[in-house]
Amino acid sequence: MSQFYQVFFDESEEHLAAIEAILLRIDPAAPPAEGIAEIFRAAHSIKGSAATFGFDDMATLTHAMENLLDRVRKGELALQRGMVEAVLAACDVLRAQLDAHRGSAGAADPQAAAVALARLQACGEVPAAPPPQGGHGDGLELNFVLSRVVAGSEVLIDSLFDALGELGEVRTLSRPPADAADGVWTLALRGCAAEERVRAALDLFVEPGTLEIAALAAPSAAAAMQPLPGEEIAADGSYGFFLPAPQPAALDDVPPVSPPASPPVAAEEGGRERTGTGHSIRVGVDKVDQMINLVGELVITRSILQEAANVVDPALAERLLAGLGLLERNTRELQESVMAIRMVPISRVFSRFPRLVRELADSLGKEVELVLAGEHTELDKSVVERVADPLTHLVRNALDHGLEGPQERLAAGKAARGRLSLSARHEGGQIVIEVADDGRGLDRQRVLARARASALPVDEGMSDAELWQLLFLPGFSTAESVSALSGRGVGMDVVRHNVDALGGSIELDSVDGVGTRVVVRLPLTLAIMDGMTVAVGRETYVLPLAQIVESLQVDAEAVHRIGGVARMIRVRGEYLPVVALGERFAVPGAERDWLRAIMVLVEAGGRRAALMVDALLGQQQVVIKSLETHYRRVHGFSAATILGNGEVALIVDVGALVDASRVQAELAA
Amino acid sequence: MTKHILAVDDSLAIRQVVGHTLRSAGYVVSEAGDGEEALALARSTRFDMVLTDLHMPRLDGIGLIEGLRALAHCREVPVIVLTTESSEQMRARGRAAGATGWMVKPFEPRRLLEVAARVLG
Repeated sequence: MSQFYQVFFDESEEHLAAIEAILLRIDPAAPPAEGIAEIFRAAHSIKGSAATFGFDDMATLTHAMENLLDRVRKGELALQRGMVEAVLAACDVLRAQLDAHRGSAGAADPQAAAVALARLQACGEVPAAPPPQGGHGDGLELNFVLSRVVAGSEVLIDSLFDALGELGEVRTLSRPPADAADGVWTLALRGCAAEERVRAALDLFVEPGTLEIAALAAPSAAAAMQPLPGEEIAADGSYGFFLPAPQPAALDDVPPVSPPASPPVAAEEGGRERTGTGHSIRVGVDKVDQMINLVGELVITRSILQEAANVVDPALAERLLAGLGLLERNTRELQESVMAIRMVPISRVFSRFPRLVRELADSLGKEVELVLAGEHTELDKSVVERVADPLTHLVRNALDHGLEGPQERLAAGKAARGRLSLSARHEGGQIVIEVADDGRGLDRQRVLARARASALPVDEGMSDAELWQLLFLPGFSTAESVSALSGRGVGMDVVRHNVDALGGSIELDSVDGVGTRVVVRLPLTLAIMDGMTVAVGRETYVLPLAQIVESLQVDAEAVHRIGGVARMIRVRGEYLPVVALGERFAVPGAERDWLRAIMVLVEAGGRRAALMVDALLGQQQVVIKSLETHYRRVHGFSAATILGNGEVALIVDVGALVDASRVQAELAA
Repeated sequence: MTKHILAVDDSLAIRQVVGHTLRSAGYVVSEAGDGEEALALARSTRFDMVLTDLHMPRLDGIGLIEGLRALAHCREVPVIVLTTESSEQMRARGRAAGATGWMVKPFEPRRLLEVAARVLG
């Protein structure tokens, strides 16, 4: 059965996410019936599958969840905030159990499961006078000795049964022989009678002090099941038939399928079916990746054909070129369609924040309104997965350090409730994600002081933008105390590193007392990139277009020398370190003369440098091939690609080169 | 003739287990994710048996049974309700709607085959 586990894991995860999404939207005062029904169904579904696969821990918890929700659904219980919390807590435990079964985490904590279960059950006990269920079965076992008068009269014994019959279903488990007036009777009473009422009903009949009431021992499934009239139940209670049991012979008399009475109607309904939500298929990511790979190969093959066609006389090859043009368009569309399969809305990541923010705000004693925008903006699945951590960190930072407590806000003339906004949008082939708060903002003086304390080269005249860049340096933090929440040793440097690794960029913008805004720009996909091909000696390299600011040639005046050696160039008043790619990668025949070479200004992690190359060859979309997968990691390069002429070209890791150049420049200075 | 069974459940995992169990015993199994999808299939196909879950989006198990009973060629098709609750109330509802029998989830594959053999002969 284990071959079906994966589907169960995926389904359960989706159900859990759906439950959380609904609960976080819900207004306990006016819960939408449809929402409750949906949560109930999700819990029910997990329970059924979990039990089938033998994941009893999950089945137990979802069973309790289902019971609670069923009562809410039927209007027996009013939805309360405590219930929402209890169900959310149970979801967390379920997720841990799911991870444990999947093997991606250690065994789930049984203590946590017990706590979550107790919480769910406690919610169900809110209404007054719950039936004394005793935890086992749903009945009571009564043991007593009849008073002498009653024992001698069948009429009185009958009225005893009548009295009990009003409270539930009575069955005699054992009775003393007729001649033993002081023998013990044992009755089973099923139903929801309260113990007090049973005592009151029996008061007249039993010898004082002999009545003992206990919960009925849990009956076996089959014994507990009373067959309905005309129902046949299997010995172990696992299935049953409503008699008369179907006669296979009779089935053969049924006429074969007759066509639907009115085909047009059926066809119409069929059409409606297809537009329904049920029409999707679940495909492994590896299959999609394989398609993307093949499309990538196709793009390369097309480029190879194009290069070959370029040397043919256009007059002769007119039809060939026309065909290639068509091929290009089709390839591009195919590529876009395949990429679209992997595109998922950023709401996958955003959806975790309402809860995180609420819990964090509660624990910090802050009031925060979270505003989400652009949740439907789509980006590649692999990017979504890797952007979750940096975004979570930014949100935590904003809550922890950015937003003030209600008192401080009121004193500063702001609303007591802080505002945190999270938005996403597409912009020029990139996705732009903004995390903004209206908190206290960054204090220039404190950042400067902290920088001086860390012996960083700063001065009063630095622009805000330059100053804020310092926050991204390893180990730089302006928080007065290391908070339990955002602390944990992960700082903005790690956020920047994560974003850089995705080929993105991060900017921070802050106004003292007004708020802070962090803008993260990411490529839509990690599989394809717009690149600039450059020549260095006889080598061809690719620079990510997104990191190129401009390209230029410098004159002698712009070259800044330190100790007689050319070190930097000055561009519009800014000194930039220069990385000569020919030297860096030891390429024979590369241009050494700074005045004849081309300087490509690049930016990574908010810092700039100039990369010196021989010539710019052109822009093109390149399919990214991982070096680690195909070869091994090479410092200074982030990946490789295959060019139109079939040659392999390395993609320059601009971030690493810029960092290295800064260190060298500082050492030299 | 090979018997054709329709398995209806909103959980793909359950459908796969049911389908796998029955297919390995030589039955042909079609699957539907909810009552409406099942009804759409039943309009054009004569199934020898329908196994259905109760709680499903769009159209639940009870609605499906009623819908099936309203189709001329499905009036007699045996319908077994797969349910996690075998309470009297639930069973009575199933019977009132026209179910042939019921079976509790989780089930042992052996039991499922027992039921199928009983129903299909």
